[in-house]
Amino acid sequence: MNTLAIILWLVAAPTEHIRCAEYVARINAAGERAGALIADGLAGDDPAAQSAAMQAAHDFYDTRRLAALLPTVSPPVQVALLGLLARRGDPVAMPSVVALARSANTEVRAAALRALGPLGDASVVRLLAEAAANGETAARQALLELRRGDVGAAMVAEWASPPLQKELARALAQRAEPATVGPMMKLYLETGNETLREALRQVCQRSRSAAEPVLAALTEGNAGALLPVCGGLVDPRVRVVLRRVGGRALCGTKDPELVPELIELARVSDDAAVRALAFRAAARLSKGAASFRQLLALAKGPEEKRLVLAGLAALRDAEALKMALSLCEDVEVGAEAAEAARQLREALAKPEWLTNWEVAGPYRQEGKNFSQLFEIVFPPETEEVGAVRWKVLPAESPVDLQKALGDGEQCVAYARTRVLSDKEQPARLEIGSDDGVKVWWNGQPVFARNVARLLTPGEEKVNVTLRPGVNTLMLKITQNNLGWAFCVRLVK
Amino acid sequence: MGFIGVGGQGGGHLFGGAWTYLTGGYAARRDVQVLAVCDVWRDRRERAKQRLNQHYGRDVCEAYADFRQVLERADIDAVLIATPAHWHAVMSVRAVEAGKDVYCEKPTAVTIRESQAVLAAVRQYARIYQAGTQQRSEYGGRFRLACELVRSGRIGRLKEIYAWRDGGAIAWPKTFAPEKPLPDGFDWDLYLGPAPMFPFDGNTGPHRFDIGELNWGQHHYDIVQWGADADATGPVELWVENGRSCYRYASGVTVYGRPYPGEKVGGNGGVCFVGEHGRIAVDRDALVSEPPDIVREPLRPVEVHLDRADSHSGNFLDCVRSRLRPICDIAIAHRSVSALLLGGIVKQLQRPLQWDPAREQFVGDDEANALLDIPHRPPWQL
Repeated sequence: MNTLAIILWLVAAPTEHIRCAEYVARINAAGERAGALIADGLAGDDPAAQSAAMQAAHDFYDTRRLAALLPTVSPPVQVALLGLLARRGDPVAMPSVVALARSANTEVRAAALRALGPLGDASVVRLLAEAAANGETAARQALLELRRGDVGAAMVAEWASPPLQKELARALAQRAEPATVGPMMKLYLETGNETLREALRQVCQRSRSAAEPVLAALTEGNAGALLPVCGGLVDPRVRVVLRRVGGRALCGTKDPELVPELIELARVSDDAAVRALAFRAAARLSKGAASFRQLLALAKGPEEKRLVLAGLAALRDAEALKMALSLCEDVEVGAEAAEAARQLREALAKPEWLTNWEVAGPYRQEGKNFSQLFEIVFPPETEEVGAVRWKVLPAESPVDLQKALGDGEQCVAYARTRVLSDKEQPARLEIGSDDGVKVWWNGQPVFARNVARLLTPGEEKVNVTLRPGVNTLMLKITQNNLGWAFCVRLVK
Repeated sequence: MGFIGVGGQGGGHLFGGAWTYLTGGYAARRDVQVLAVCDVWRDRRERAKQRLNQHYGRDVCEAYADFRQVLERADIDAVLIATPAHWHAVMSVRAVEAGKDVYCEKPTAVTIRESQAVLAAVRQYARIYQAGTQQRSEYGGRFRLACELVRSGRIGRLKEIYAWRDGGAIAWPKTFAPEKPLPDGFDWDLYLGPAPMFPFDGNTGPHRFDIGELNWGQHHYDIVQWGADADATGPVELWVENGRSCYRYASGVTVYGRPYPGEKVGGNGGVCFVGEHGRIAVDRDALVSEPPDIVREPLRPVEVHLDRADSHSGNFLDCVRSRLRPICDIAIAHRSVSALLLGGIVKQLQRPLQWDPAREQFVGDDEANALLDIPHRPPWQL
């Protein structure tokens, strides 16, 4: 072609977009031959025809035929055609796309891997996972988009291949499919694989419905494996297991610092066994009356009240005594409460003065004054079981009988206590009384003074013998008028 | 590329800005060189040209008052049109006839006939057309997710859609204000374009001929169409209810041109989808549902996944290279703007209308069909 011919050709040649429009018109008019024109246009090297053919391909229904063009066109057209097929989403294109997923051309390979998301099925999981493991981000995205076939099961099945696990875990976590959670969990419980555990945890966090199978499977037995997966969820099933498992662990503690947690566990646990364990542990470890007060409020039944009383008895605390006293009227544990109170009084008492007293009275008889009453036998002296109602007094000395039994004149009251001794030994009772006093030691009368007087501590001295174990002491105190009190000191 | 209209909207696309979704705008993109800017205001086009040449470090960009000069340039592959609304369709058609790919701001057209002409031209010249309804790509994929959830049946069978805004249309002025002196450096004739010539009255706004929601409406109806799976169709019945246009698809889904009562989300380009088992409301700021868990549960692989683009301008440029149709291709834009414009017609007529979405005409209703078109001043007929 000479120069003139070239110039003439350039002048005459329509611009690219006009040729493009011409090609569009030809395709539109081609009827059944449209497919062939599209194929020619895409496979040729005329940009105008390529552009027209690609636009026409959007409306060309035969996806299989479009996919078959893939091997015949240049890489840039392959990329565009892969994009078109991906958008169309017709799986008939999958085999042709798979063939390009290992293309040496980077852009074609990425476009093919990307297209496998909407076009692929479970059979390409391995291909995509391998590509993703090789750093192909398009494959990573495609693994998330795969929707045909049992993709989740295929991913779990490929787990046996360690190099793929990271990518599979990433995909499984992000897909968060409830149907896959079961197999994932089974595999995790079998292998204990940490990557899988993390994937499961993310699934549970991401989707409540996907977390459902894990929550349903969660038991005390598998809590060690599954709590790291679903323990962060706010769910009644997690709560129950956390309380049981965490609670059981807590109940084994010997650390008194954990008493508040134990009390809280006993308060909130809906598992009766855990609650009881927590209660016991708290009662065992509590060192203060405040803790016992909380436990007493939580106590269910006499057994737990007894635990509290046993704990209280070990305290040297006026508050503990107050609590024990408050239980002395309790039908079920009154006896234990009295015992606890007695022990507390002993513990609290100053060494020389006895402070743990129970009293009964006042006793009166028509027409008899205090002096006459001194000799009259009332039920405490006859030791009739159940005939006397003894009242435990707060630990104090001297004992103010007016405060304990009320104001009154011309009456008598009895007071009793017990003294423990580890051996037989002589001792001396030093007694003060307002007014007269009669003394029984281990059931035997050992002293009597019928008199009206003010209290003088240690005014009367009575020698006794302490025997090993429990020794009983009972006093009868008369009341003329004004003050009514007594005190006893045991000097060994 | 060439930029036609470099005021607030076009300038935002070009240079980025507070409202734009692309940092630095097209000017900052390495895969784009802006060779031409065009505006009927001299100050605007010269300022834009100066800024671009400064940015590029050499004099590569020319400024034009007449967009036809931009279209004549063989070295320009694509144009972005951000002019007053009444110009959009005419410029789009002229651009594709000149072999340019087009990104055009909404509304795609101001009449149904204009929109059809753009569709036909884009297909005839096998050009790429991206509508500026960027909600399908931008805002974190919030609108896409909302439509995917709706189309996956998360709220049960879709019954109603509250489009927040109702119909829109165009009207040429019937009376003219007193003439004012023409500002220096402003081309009134090219501003008016297809509108009738009348004396300069000082109003040079981008939406001076709009009726109703012509400006924002297409954003809303684009999402209505997407969520209703109606990209290839349109209304079959239209009516006015409490002063707002409403319509029904053949599927039975009813679209109300007003907010869902009591729902705060939706005003910023959004809609509220109401189904048998709940509702989903979305706009540029939020995606919410009732019950709330509907939007919290992630979309599963087996549920409906819609076309995905993470950048509206990026998707346009990708398609310019690949020749694939963009996410807001002209066919989609045509149907979205049609839903808006049909609402505009029913509001003008204030009576129920029957629309045939396949033939794209009102059924036996000459008065309504007459409103599908509006006269264009020569030489801007389509």
